[in-house]
Amino acid sequence: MTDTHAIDIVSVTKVYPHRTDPVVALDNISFSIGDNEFFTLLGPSGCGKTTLLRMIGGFEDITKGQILLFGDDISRLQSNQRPVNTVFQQYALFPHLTVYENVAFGLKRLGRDTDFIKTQTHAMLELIRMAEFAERKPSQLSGGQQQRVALARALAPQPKVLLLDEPLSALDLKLRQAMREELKEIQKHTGITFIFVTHDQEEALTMSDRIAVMSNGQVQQIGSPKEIYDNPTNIFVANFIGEANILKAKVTGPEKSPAKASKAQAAAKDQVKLCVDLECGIKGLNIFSQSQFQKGKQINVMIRPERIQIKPLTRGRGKVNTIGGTVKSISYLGTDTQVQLLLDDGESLLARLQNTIDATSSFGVGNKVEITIPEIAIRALSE
Amino acid sequence: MAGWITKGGNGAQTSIVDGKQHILLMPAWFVIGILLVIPVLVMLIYSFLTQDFRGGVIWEFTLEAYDQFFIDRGLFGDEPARIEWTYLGIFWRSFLQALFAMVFCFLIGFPTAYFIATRAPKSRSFWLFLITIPYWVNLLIRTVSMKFLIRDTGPLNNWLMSWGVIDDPISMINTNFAIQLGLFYSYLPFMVLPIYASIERYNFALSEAAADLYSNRWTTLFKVVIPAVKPGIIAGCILVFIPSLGAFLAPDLLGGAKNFMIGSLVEEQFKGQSGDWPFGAAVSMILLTIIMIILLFYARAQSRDNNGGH
Amino acid sequence: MAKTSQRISWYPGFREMAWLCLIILYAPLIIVMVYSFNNSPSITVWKGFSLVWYNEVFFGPEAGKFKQATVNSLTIAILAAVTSTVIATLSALAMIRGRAFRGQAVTFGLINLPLMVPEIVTAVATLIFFASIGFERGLLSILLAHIVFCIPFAYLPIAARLQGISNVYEQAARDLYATPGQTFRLILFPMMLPGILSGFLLAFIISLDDFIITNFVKGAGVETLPTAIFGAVKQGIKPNIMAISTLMLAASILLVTISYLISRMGNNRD
Repeated sequence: MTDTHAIDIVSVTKVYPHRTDPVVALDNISFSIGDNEFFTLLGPSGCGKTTLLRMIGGFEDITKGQILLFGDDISRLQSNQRPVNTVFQQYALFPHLTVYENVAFGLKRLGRDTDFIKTQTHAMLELIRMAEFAERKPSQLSGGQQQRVALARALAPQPKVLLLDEPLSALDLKLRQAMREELKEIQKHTGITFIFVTHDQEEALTMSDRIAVMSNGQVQQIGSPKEIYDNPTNIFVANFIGEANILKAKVTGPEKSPAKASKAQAAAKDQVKLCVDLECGIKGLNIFSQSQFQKGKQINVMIRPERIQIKPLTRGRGKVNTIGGTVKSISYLGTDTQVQLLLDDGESLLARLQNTIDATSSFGVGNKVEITIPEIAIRALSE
Repeated sequence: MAGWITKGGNGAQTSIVDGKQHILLMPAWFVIGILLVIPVLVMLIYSFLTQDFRGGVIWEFTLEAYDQFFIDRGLFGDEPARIEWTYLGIFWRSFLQALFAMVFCFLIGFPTAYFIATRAPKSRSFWLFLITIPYWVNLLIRTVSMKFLIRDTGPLNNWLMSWGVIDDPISMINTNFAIQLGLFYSYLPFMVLPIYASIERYNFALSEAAADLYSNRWTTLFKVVIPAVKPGIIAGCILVFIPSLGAFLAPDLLGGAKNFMIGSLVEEQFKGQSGDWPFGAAVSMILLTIIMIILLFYARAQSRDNNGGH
Repeated sequence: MAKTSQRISWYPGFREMAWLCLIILYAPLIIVMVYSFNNSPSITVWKGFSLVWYNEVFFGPEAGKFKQATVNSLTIAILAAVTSTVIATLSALAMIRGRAFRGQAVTFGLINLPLMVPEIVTAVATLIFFASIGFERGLLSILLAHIVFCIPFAYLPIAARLQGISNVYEQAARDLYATPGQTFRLILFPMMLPGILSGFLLAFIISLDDFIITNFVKGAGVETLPTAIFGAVKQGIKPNIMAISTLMLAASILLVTISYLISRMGNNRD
C-alpha cells in the first residue's frame, strides 16, 4: 500500500429512476485520481461530470459502486462526514455572514480551537488577497471576489480533496484567465488534490495535470493534456478537444519497414503502429494507434489542422504523403490563418497555418495546392 | 419522482429535512386534525341528533333536522309533506346576494385591476398597497363604518339632503342593497388581486395584433383580453362568491332582522338556550357541501386547464 | 409590459373606475375617522375637532370593559401567532424542502383547509365539538380555535420565502461539516426570518380581527375587542365606537406597513 490514490471511483453507476424512462447518468465508471493532482472532469452538458463530482462530495446517492478516499470507503457517509470540500458554481456564500464568518464556518463546525480558527482564517484570507474585505458581506463583493472567498472557505478546513464545480463559468474572459493561474498556484502551494469540473476545453488543457473526458455518462479517455490532444482515442475526444480532421482509412497490416523508425517516431506507451491506406488517395502510411485492428478493417483516422502542410502546386510526381486539393476559403485569425480545403475526391479538410511569415501569400482562394499529411501526426481512432 | 419514500437511501442526502418530514408535520396534523377535521365530523353527527329544548342535544339519531329544512309538514307536523320553502328560500336569496356581490365586484374590480396593471411598475405596487390596506382593517370595523355611512341619519343622507339632492333620507340601511354594498365592500380586494395577477402576465402584443386586424378596443377587450385572463377572473369570482355565501356580518349589521341570509340563520340556532343545534348543524353541513362542490368543480377545471389546455 | 401604446390598451372609464374603487374602499373608514374627532354627542352633526370620545374610550364608563377586551385580544393574538408560526415553519420545511413523500398532497390540502371551510361553518363545528367533549368555553377555547385558522396565514409567507431560497446554501453548510440542526439554526433560519416574521404578523392580525369564530366559541363573560365592539354596535352606534374603530384602523395600518417593510428588507438583503 505504497501509493494510495486520493480518490478511487469503483464501478460507479447512477440511475435516476422513473416509471417508464429511467435516466442513466453514470454508467459503470472506474478510475483513480492521485494525491496532489489537479484533475479535471471535462465534457459537454449532461455528460455526468457534475453528477460524479456531487457524488464524491456526498450530495448525490450512488446507485451502484463505491468511492474511496485514500483507501477509505466514503460511499455511505453524509457530506458533513467527508473530509472533502466544495467550491460551488454559484459560490453559495452565506449572505447574512461576513467574509470572515463565511471562511471560518467549516472550522467552527469542526470544533477547532479558537486560536487556530483565527490564524487559519486569516491565512486563507491572505492567500486569496482579501484580508481587508474580512468584514464585508457577500452582496458587497464583485463576482471574482465572491469566487475567491468561496475558494478560501472550502480550503480553510484543510480538506483531503477539493471539488470545484465550474467555478469560473460566471466570470468574464480576462478574469477567468487570471483565476486559472491563481487556482493552479494555490493547488501547488497547498498540495491538496483538486477535482475540477468544466465544459471549457481550453480551461482543462491549461490547468490540469490529467483530464477525464466524459460523454453520456461514460469516461471516454483519461490522460494528460498532451496525451489527450495528441492521441485521442475516439472521434468524440478528437472533436471535443481542439479541432480534428477525421478521415476514413483501411488497415493494410502492421507497420511496414519498422527498421526505419526514428527516435521521434518511437511509439507512445500502449501504442501500436499500423499501415493504412487513406480513402482520399494517400497509401502506405505507418501511423500510431491505441488499438490493434485487423487487416482490411475500415477505420477512422484523425489529423490536427496545424499539422497539415500546404504548398502551391508544383511539377513533379510521387511526393510522399501528398494529395491535391483546392483552397475553398481563407480566414485570418490573428495568430494563425485557417484554410478550408477541398480534396480532389470531394472530402473537406481544415488546415491551420501559423502567421510567422506571410504563409498564405503563395496561394489564394480557388487555387490548386499540394496538401501534405505527415505520417507521424496521424492517429487511428478506436471508433 | 412520485412515490419515493425517503427512508434508507445511501448516506448522501440533499436536504436536512429528508426522512423527518412526517415528524415535522405532526404538529400541523395534530392541531388541524383535532380542532377542525374532527369538529366538522362531530358537527355532521350532531346534524343527525335530536334537539334538546333545554339547550344542546339528546343523543338520539334522527333525520329531524334535515326534515325540518327541506320538508314542510305544517304547523303541527301532521299535514302532508310539501317542500319547505322558507329555508330553501334563504339559501336561494343568499345565493343571489353572493352572485350579485360577485358581479358588482367584477364590474368595478376588473377595470380597476386592468388600470393598475397598465401603470408603471413603481406606481403599480403603490396602487396595490392602497387596495390591500382596507382588507387588513377588521372586517367588523369596515362593516360598522359602512353602516354608519348609509344610515338614515348618517353622513351620506345628511350630505345628500344638505346639497338639496333629496328631501327625505333614502332608507338604504336594512335593505338588500345595503347587504350588497357590505359584501362588495368586504371582498372587493379579493376580486381585484387575482385579476391583476392575470393581466400582469398578459401579453399586450395580443391587443396590438387584434388592432392590427381591425378590431376596435371593445371587441378586443371581450374577444382577446378577457379570454386570456379568464383564470384570474374565475379565481376572483370564487374568492368573492364563497365568503359571501356564508357571510354573517354584512347581512346582520346592514340587512337587519328582515333580510336573513345563511349566516344569520345559522347564528340564530346557537344563541342562548333556545337554539336548535341539530338544525344549525344541518344548515352548516348543507352550506359546507355546496361550497365543497363548487371548489371541486373549480379544482377540476384548473387541472384540466393545466393538463389539457394550452 | 408597461409601456404599451396608449391607444391600444387604453379604455375609457377604467381610470375612473379605479379611483371609484379606492373611494369606496376608503370613504367609510375616513368618515368614521373624521367623525371620531367630532366634538358633539350627536354623531351626525359636525361640531368641531375634539378628542372627547377618545377620552371616553380610555377613561369612560365602558373603558374597563374595552380594556379587558383589548388585553384578551392581544394575549390571544400573540399566543396564537407564536404557536401557529412555529407549526407553520415546521410544516413549510417538511413540505418544501426534501423529497416528495407519501401524503404530501393531502397535507397541503389539510394546511389550507381552514381557508376553504367558510368561517361560519368552522365556528359552528368548533362550538359543537367543545360542547360535546365538555370543554369549558373561555379564553383557552378561543385560543385553540384561533391557532387553527392562523396556521395557513402564517404558512403562506413562510413557504413563499422558503421556495425562493436555493438549497445550495444548505448543501454548502453540510459540505462544511454542519449537522442538520446547525444548518437550520445558522443558515436556513436566518435566511427564512423575513418570511417567518411576515407570517407571524399576518397571523397576529388575523387573530386580532377575528369575529365570527370568536363569537361562537367564547362563551359568556369573555370578550375580545371585536366581540365587544359588536355587542356595543348592537345597542346603537355611539361615538366611542368610532374612536375605537379609528384606533384599530391605525393599528392595522401600522402592522401591515411593518409587514411590508420587513418583506422589502428581506428582498434587499440577498
